[in-house]
Amino acid sequence: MKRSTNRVAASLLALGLLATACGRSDDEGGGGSNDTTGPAVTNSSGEQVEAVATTDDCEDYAGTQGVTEEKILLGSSLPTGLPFNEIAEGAQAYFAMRNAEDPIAEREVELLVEDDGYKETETKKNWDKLTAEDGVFATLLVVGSQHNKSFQADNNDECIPNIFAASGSEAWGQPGEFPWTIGSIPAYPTEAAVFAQYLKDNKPDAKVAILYQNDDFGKSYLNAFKAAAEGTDITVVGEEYYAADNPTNMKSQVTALEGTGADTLLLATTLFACSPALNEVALQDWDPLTYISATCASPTTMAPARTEGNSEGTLSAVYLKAPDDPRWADDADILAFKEKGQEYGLSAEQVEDGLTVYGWVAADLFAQAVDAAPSVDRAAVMNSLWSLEGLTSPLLLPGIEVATNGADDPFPIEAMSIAVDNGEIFELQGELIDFSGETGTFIP
Amino acid sequence: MGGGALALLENRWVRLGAWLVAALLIAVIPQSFEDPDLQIFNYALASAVAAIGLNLLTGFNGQISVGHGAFFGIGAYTTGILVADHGWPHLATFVPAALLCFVIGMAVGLPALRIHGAYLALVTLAMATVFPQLILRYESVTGGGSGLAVPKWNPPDSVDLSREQFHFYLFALVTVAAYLLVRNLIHSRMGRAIIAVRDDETAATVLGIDAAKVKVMTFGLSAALAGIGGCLFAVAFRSLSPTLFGILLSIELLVAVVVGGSATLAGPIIGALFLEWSPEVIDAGDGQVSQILFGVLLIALMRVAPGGLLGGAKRLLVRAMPPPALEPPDDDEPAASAAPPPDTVEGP
Amino acid sequence: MDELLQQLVNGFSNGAVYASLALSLVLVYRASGLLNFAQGEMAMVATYGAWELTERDIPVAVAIAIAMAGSFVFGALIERLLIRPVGDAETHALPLTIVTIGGFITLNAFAQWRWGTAVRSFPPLFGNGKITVAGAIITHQVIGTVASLLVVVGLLFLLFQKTKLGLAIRSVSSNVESSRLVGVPVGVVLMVSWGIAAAIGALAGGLVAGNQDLSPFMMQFILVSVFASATLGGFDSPLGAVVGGLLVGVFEVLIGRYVGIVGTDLALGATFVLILGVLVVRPQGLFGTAKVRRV
Repeated sequence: MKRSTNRVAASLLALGLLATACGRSDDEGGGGSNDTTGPAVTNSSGEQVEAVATTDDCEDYAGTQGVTEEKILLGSSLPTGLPFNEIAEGAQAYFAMRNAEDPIAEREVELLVEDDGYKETETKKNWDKLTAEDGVFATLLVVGSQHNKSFQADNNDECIPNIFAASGSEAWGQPGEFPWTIGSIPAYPTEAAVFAQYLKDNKPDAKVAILYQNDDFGKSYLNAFKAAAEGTDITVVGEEYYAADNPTNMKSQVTALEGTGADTLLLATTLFACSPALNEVALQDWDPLTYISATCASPTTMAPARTEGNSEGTLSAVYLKAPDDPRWADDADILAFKEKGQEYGLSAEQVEDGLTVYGWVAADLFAQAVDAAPSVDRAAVMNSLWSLEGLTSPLLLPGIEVATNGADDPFPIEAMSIAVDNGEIFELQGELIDFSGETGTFIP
Repeated sequence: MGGGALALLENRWVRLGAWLVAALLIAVIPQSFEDPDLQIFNYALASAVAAIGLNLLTGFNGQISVGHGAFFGIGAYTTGILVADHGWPHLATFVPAALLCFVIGMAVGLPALRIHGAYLALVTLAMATVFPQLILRYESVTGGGSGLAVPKWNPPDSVDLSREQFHFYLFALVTVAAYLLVRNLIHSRMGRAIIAVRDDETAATVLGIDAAKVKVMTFGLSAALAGIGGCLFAVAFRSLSPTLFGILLSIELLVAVVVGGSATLAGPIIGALFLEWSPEVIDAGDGQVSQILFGVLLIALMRVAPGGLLGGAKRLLVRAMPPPALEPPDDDEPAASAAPPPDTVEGP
Repeated sequence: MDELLQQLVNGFSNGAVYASLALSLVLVYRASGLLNFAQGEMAMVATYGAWELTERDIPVAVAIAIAMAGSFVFGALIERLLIRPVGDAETHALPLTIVTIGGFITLNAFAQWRWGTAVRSFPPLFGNGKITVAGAIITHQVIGTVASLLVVVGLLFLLFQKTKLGLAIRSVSSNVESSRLVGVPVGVVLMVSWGIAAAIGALAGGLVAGNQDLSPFMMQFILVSVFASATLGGFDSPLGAVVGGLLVGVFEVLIGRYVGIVGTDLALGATFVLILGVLVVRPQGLFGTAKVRRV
């Protein structure tokens, strides 16, 4: 932002104005006309579709900030101390590979990563710096729901893409209101619907108890599961919640849920609550068919339940090839990932981690979206992301097609397979359950 | 002890100089920092106003609160809800926010008539615990866990300022107003009563001070200022969610007060700036190592300057200047006491 | 199964966890008149120490005992090196509180840096067994936790009432100046008091981690309930801490489960209101001693 020399005078004037004016609230920004993207754009199959991201109302639109003939600069903010760092490093390794072997849009891609310690105030500061000082083209893979929300109004007002938010909140599927933010992992409602579908197929008269985290994360599962179960013989017989800041204490809730006579348990839990929930269910000698949020399906969150022998048989859902699943031990794509990943900066340990795979896949999808865009311009890339058609990536489960179509289909990945914990890892089980284009129907 | 230095601090010209420096800083900072950094000043000023409020209660009146984050949150949500859902102009929301916090603050202050020290701290801690839960529960009004987006307060078209610069001037103005309010209050009859109740409640009562009224009023005023700080935060941050206003925030406000210098007038402002800027300055490359350094810094600071940054600076000045003979006591500036303030947490 | 009975047991089990840390908190308050925000983090770091030992095949009881010994020294050093130089709690309560907050930040960040944020399983001192009484399930670990706490309270009572050291501790906690005048080595007594508190904290950490899991945040999750417990019981009473902890645990569960309008989310808040009611009648808590104010 340019600064004029007479700002001091203006400042004094402002102080004077403040004393009298009541100020005004203004959603539309300070005006200033911008380049306008046409109403139609080309999608990843070369067809003309309606543009989702238009630049008419942008505040200071700078479509090619962070892009030169040689380079695309991206930024991310996540807790680098937590295992989430693997996400960024997976993406960085992918970009390093492409930079060396097959540059994306003939440019080198660099991903700057800022630490936010999982504090949303820090995320917003990082976003301000990345966009205003470092001048990134877009942000990629920012971790956490509130964290992405902390700058959602800003990146949409300023038309700076926030690509593949690393959270399953349905908030990233509102291109009408927030066309400059798009999600990545299957949305929590999709996941809840996948579990409901599994029950329809395997336990059609399930009596389900739901334990959820008392915030938008937990309620996403709760509401979507109820919506998906409507009109079936599946009944929700009990729901209890726990506070996100007190995730290790769920005795009372588990007792209450067991008392409902439920034979199935949906755990909409995450991070520190995953293992305690499983342990408590086992402690109280309850043995329902249990499904646990895919956000729990990492070795670190599952470790205590696995050590105590309380995890076996628990269901979850997956959409990526897990590098530690023996099923993929000889898979050519996984082998290639492990080899290339280590060649481009990942450790032998990191290439065994599902979070690294996630970062790698997201970077691959980003690259494909950029390739499909007519130019490396913010609106063009964003519109390309909103009109993906049948993209695939080698590390996605076979059969998963990544597709979006503006407000009609705002969620990129909507298919998952049920996996079952064997005491050490979640093992893929059964067929792909595909809700492509349907996630919206589970969001009340 | 150090009467020379204290006299110097109270010298009219020295004070005028301090005001000039402050005015200069207010004028220069927005021209010298990029918007993202200016935003950090804005967050700091929002905390500063709240810390000024907390200092009135904890520093001058001796009642420890670890629940002021809740008032900050009430202020922020009042602004957020009124602007986003009812189309109020931002500035107009400060009034109901302050009033609401004043009333709730007085209510929370009532138990303080009977409960003291650490026990009272627990009552305020309860507030910090309950507030985020209430936001989650009354989702239809507050947005719950999904958060509440606060519309922007842009500068008027007639001024050539970025939004961050505009906010900075606005926030600085509010901070100065809060500072003056507390300064004038402390120098008034009521202010002397506030301090007397802190120093010795029984003696104050004997002197005819209505200690109960003083304590409850102070709690209310303190809460109102914390609420206005929250309004500023809502204007600057614009994305409200319950996780922002947990216990951590209440503790941070307390740290700002003590690190800046409790029972000093400018201390809370310095403390808030310190707190907001430390994570930017202390960067060991690893988030956790930076945190360790910050914790150690806090401990070290309290060791060398238990009276806080401002208290420590004054003590240095006092040491540097020999006292002249027979300095008459001057009660014009109670904040200038070099000794750290006594406190009401009762030791065994 | 009778749900009410199981819920009472649940509350009791949670309460046992609160009581463990509350006991340690109260001992520091008795000695120094200070609310030590870092008490939980000291216990957490000690528990990681014990965990390191159990990973080296040292039995958990021995590991906790070693952690307690280490914590005794650590606690005493903290008092001598970090707390005392700042001043005493009568005049320096605020800076001392900030020192403990600084300690909280430092120790928590250290644990995250050293051991990561991953949640780990910690072997329960009293094993994985559980018994069923009238349909309600209770673990050996919970019974063992409460029994240990009562034993510790009993030992503390003997220490305070029957030994010379205990007399000195009581003397210092009631009046530092007069203790000094009659020749009590105040400094040593304070160090010993902090040492004992930290050692009991290490025991508490081991017990809590055995009931729940080990993580750098294990104590933060329960800290508010622990403060509530100490307040209810009375800040200077070890027995009060244990009884307060158990009562808070039971209140929280029963209110959350059976008072519909309150619910789980506000159960802790409602418990605070109950505590407030108690404090209005007894400002010093259930078992605390009232302060005599000199005029």
